[in-house]
Amino acid sequence: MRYSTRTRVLVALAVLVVLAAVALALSPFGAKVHAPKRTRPFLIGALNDSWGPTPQVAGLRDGLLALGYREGERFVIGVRFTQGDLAALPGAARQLVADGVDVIFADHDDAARAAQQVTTQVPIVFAMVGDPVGLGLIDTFAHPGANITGVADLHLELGPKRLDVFREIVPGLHRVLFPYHASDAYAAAEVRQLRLAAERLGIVLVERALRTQEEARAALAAVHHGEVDGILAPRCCALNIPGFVLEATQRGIPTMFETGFWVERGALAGYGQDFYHSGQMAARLVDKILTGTKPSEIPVEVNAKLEYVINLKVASALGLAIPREALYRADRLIQ
Amino acid sequence: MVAHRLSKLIVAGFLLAVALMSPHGTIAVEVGEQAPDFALPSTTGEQIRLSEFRGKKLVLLEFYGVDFAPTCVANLSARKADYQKFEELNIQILGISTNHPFSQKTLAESLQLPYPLLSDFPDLQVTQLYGGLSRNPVLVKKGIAERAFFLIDTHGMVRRKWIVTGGEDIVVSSEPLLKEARQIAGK
Repeated sequence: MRYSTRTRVLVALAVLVVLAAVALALSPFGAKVHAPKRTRPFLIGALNDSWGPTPQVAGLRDGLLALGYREGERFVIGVRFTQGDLAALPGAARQLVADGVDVIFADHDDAARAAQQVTTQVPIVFAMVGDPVGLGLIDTFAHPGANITGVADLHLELGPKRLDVFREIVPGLHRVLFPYHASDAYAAAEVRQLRLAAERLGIVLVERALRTQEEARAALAAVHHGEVDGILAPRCCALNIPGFVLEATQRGIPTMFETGFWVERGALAGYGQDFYHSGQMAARLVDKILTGTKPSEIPVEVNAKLEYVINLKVASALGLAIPREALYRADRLIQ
Repeated sequence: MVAHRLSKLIVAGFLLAVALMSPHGTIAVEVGEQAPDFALPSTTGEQIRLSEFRGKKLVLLEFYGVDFAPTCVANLSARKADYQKFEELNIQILGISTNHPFSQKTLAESLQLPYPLLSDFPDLQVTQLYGGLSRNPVLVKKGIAERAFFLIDTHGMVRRKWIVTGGEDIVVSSEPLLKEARQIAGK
């Protein structure tokens, strides 16, 4: 069989193209470009004003594990906590940056703000922030700006509902103490929300601004039943206010928190965000950052998973008969 | 004769292999023995070698499980609270875990520990040599150390040891450690 000259030229060209492709694939220029293999795991610096790892940090860790990251090999989380001291947060954030962290995971707006103060380069992923735009942490949810993104929640919006739930489980609740850190911007926003809600619900909100841990300890230790009908704990761990509120439960005062974390430790009830879930959501954002997406291109997400928890053992100790409706509505009952 | 020696060798090799493969690690160091020397990265930013304290200080090795676990934090904090008493007895405290150095560093800074933490990550060799890994079947898979204490004298000899089996939830008071240390120091 004879082939035309045109056919032979075409076959020759095809063979050349194939050979060139093979050569290119085998050459250093044609080889698939691989990112340099990391010699160390990603370092994630978790920053908070708490007393150790929070449920959000546990959620972050478990979220990364679920995404296939191996702890110790692919990532390490170091928790830098300041034990209620907001003023120590910028220094702690600065140290994390000096340690060469790849991401700062900031619990609460104060930690996020501290991280923003010390770096415009290291990505910041926040969680447990109620109003990130209003607090000036981000530009918009869609385009957070600069080196920050995170998981917001509905804590501020849920303040009135929390007060309402508190009234539902404590019959005759009239005077509610709200202790808060006097110089914390977020606490100020909380107070404004609660003031309006209390007025609407016919509750007297006894506001108590606190400035030092000693003052907080003394003020809350002096609160006795009869003076107020219950205590609503603030979000912020600053000055260890939630810790002192918890102690008040043991003296017979009903206490309401925003999360089951405190209810498991002896508070009467909690209504608010599932913090562990916020951490899990943040893991996806951290994953995006570690795989090359800029934080400014990652929209802020909102954790709308809520949890209503009642500690029946505490209710019993306080002599409270929790209404049946509340028992039905609760997500968790601690026996 | 040769066959007999060979069979003894095989048996010895088998026993050694079993010991090495044991989840609790190799045979732990005993009281009266020379403490095996080691060098590990520490929260001071430098490697710390056990033998650098020989002839100078008693050493308390405190093996703990996990950075940030509440019980471990409570144990490390207990030693911080009694640090002055340990200092007065010329005792160097060294906390050791199988956690990554970065994790240990943030813990030490958060708690403002006055003594260093040493990282036995990722090899776990020092842990296996001393108290071993946790007897808890879940924790042993994660390579987590059993809570253990070793008091080593200035000659580098192990004088006391405490292995707190199932000690995940136990906070060990400094007092029994200090009491033994006083006896050794003759104070």
